[in-house]
Amino acid sequence: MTSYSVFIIDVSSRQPVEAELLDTIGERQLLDWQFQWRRTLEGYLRRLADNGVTRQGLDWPQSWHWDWRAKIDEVRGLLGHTGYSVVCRDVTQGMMRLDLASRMARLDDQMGKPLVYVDYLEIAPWNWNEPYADPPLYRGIGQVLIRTAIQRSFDEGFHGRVGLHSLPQAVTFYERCGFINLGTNPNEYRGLLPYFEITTERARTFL
Amino acid sequence: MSKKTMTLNLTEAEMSALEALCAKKDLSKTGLMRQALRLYQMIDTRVERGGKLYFEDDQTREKSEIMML
Repeated sequence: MTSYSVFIIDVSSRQPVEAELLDTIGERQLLDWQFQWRRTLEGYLRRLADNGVTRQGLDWPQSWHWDWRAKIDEVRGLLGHTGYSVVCRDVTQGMMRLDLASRMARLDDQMGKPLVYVDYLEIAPWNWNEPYADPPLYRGIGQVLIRTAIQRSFDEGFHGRVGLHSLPQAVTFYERCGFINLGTNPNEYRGLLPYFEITTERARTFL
Repeated sequence: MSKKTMTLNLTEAEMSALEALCAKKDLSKTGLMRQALRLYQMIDTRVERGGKLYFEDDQTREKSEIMML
């Protein structure tokens, strides 16, 4: 496992704070998810329910059912998948699973060329900036992870190309990162998740 | 991450195919072989778990199974 120093923003002080970027999602991260993320999430979902928000409502977190242990077990040992995590003050603040092998670019200029595909990216629920949630503790974790995906793409010789399907609640985030929205496809994810891709030029700008 | 080096003996036809794919995919030979290994391992693992590999025609939705024996 390799650890890199990165900086995220402590929201209360508005100051950068040092965090670790790990090139793995290990047992420690899965335990943080299991016992800390889920406890916070449960409290948040109860608060939503108390405020009349239903599972069909726009404010209901669309990743609420993600099971990170299952997602990691599914690809354990496969060379084409990898994971990254961001740890700050000894607690996992965000995780991302990548597919390095089975997806190809779709934008006209880079059609059919290999890219890094972001299977899943999530930040800890106490960092969510959402209605009914407490103010987030840290900002910038998503950007750190997307920067990591782009850098990995350059390192792999994929020239910064990255693709992903976005949950509707995350669309604005990926647009702000410079991804191009290619829209939904009725044959993928029941036509609910738009596909995003970033070009080499835009990837360089983001870095 | 430490890396190992190997020599690969290919026929002329295989080398031509490799070079054509490298040009098409904008990858180095090492990058292409790495992608091939990742994909082969992924397919083999999923087939071993009981999965099936299909190609589907985008227009007709017709599926043809690739037999991995």
